[in-house]
Amino acid sequence: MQDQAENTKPEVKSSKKDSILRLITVLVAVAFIFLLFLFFQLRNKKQIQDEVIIEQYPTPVILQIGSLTLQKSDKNQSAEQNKALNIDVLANSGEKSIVGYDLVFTFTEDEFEVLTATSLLEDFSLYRIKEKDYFIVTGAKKLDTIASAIFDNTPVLRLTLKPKKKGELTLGLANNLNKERTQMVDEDTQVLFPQVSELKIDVK
Amino acid sequence: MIQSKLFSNPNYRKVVIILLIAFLAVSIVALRQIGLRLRAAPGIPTLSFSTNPSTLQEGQNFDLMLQVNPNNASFYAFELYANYDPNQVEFQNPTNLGQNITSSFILIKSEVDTSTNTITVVGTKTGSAFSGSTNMELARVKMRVISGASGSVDFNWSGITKLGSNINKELIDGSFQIGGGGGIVPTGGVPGGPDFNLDIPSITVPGGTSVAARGEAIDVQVFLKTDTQQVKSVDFVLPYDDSILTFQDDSGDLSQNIEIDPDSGFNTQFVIKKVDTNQKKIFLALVTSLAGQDPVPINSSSDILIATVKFAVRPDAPDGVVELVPDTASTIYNMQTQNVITCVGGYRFVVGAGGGTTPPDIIPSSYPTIPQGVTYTPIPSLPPGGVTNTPYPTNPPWVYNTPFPTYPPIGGGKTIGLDISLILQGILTRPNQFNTIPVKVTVQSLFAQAILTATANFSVDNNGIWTGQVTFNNLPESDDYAVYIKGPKHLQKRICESAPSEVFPGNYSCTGGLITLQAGSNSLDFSGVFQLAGDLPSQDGLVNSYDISLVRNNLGNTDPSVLSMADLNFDGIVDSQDYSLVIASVAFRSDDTLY
Repeated sequence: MQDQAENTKPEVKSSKKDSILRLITVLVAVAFIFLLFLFFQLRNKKQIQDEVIIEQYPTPVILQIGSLTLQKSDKNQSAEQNKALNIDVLANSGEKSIVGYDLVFTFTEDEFEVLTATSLLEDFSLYRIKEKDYFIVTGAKKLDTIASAIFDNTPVLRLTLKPKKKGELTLGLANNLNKERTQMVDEDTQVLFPQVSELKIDVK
Repeated sequence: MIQSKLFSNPNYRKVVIILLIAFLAVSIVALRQIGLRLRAAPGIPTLSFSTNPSTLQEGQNFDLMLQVNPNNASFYAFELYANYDPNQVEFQNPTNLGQNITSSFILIKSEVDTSTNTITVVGTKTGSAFSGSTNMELARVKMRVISGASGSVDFNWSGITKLGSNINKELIDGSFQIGGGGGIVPTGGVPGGPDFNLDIPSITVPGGTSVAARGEAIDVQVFLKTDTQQVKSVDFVLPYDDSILTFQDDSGDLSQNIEIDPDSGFNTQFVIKKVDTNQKKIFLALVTSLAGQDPVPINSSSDILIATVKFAVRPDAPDGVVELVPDTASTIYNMQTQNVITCVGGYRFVVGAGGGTTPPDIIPSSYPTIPQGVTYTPIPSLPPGGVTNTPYPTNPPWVYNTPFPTYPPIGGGKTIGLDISLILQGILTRPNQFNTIPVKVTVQSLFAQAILTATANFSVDNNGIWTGQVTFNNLPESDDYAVYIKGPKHLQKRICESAPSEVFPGNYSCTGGLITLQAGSNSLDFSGVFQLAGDLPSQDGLVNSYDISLVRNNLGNTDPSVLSMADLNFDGIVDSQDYSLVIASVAFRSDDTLY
């Protein structure tokens, strides 16, 4: 009996070892299959992501709304050669709340020099591009501004010019110039193409 | 029993070991794919305060500096909210409080809320991220100690202060003794330390962007801050971009444009001044005066003007942002000849474009009338009839609105492959969205009269380098190619060298192609030049109000369709960092076009 009991002890130990090995084998197999599954899922996801990249984008909505007009800031000021002259831009946004705008000013190089542009709206920041015969101002509503900005013939920008010669000189806002456009963008990211104007200035 | 024998079988154990090894290998591969990489953890950035001058007296004007030590973390944007005690301090400009705040970085928001006594500064660094492990000034606030105030002036960071995408940070409040002589004592302490910084008073716009006109003379003032150190000598190095800046007196010795301030305390006789036009750097070496055999150390509680560099903006300078930043090779030696420089401060301004805003006086809303002496002439350009919806032409995906004309080569075309590596503005590591993007590549050779365009997918690595291969099947070999790169949300960049670099992000510009393309594979490393983000879908070759508004109107949005258009740094959310990136590109405005 004692011999029998002694003989069974190694078998019990061996059985325990085998159980652990079986458990490890099963775990390894499950983990292996899981990782393979994960790997292929990831590959598929990457392929799907590539497809997402080439999705069509929604086209921006363009509305022909509003107007932009130019006028002297001081109506009584006469324009004189080589003397700074302030011109205001008045905007009408057709009841749309505006978050950004681009203004393309055109003039003849030997007639005007643009000295500066100043926002008349505290909530808007300005970015300017100055070229020989055109001047572009981009206005962007500041991030922290919540109040809506509906323009109702509202002075939005003051342009300070220096007339370089006498006579009737013309300052214009252009609908298009190369790729640039005079436009406003509302809070739904709709693009507004406003009616634009030019201003003839009698310089003495 | 059979199973026991099986598991006792040595061969079976070998199989188990092989399986374990395979499991480990697959685990490593899978984890790499998932992106769970082991990486060195960056440090935690530290935000702190300092003042200039470092000692405060009642009734005294001072600058409060909001500064960061990135501690090797990387981030672009900062949202700083600092609380002050109105019983201790006031602002130097009491009417427009926001104008008391200046920064050498682009500020999106700079304001003071007197109801909560909070200073708010939101801004960004363009191009490269904040990095390194020295203190950098993020913004400066012009303040005054109230007359009769005593004790200490305290500044506290608000808990909503953010760096980058709200990465971990350490906030060190500041407490400065009024009438104390011990210098800056930030609570928890990280003192400022000696530095060089620059100023250009003639073009400084408080609270806005400084603008210099072409041809304008700009005097760049070089300041030394000694902090608590006794300074014996300094070496100052200032790189400059000679495509934008020249010197006011360029007739002879250019070093004449460096004027040493006689009141700086440095010896004005033993001075090394040099303008290296090849390296495009200004060198200046100064030592203090001697008293007998001993140097007289320089120490001051406020910035010391040591020199003025008389630059001028070139008449033919391109539009763009200019950054003047002292080289980090600059040194400040103390009496023990230890280099004690902690950081350098630069100056940013815009040439020919951009600029600050001036607040309005009055916003009248009256109807415009035609003034005397001015003829108002409306342009009859639009048809009557009110509102019509006119959608943009529908673009096929990733086909650009303004494609180049494609000139097939005259003859002798070969199969030429381009292996291109790129870096995108605002992306420094592998982003969590869009690891593959389409990039349009155009090659142009005047000699071979060839212009060809192809679009290829580029993939990103862990360092934010995007690589892709483009193959042109019928392209002649030539050594005068220029390559045009246009990313899906980016301005097109013309590149003329096979391994270009730029001093400041966005500044690279070229006109003549110098790239040699031969049959087979050609390696082009464009990772030294940032592709500026901002021309968002549907792309029109411009960064304008549409792009800015698209980001602004979608702040906080995580919708995939919106992310595909307005998430510029591919981090999975449209946020202030994306806004900062698009604003930074406005000054560059448009695609580089064919020459």
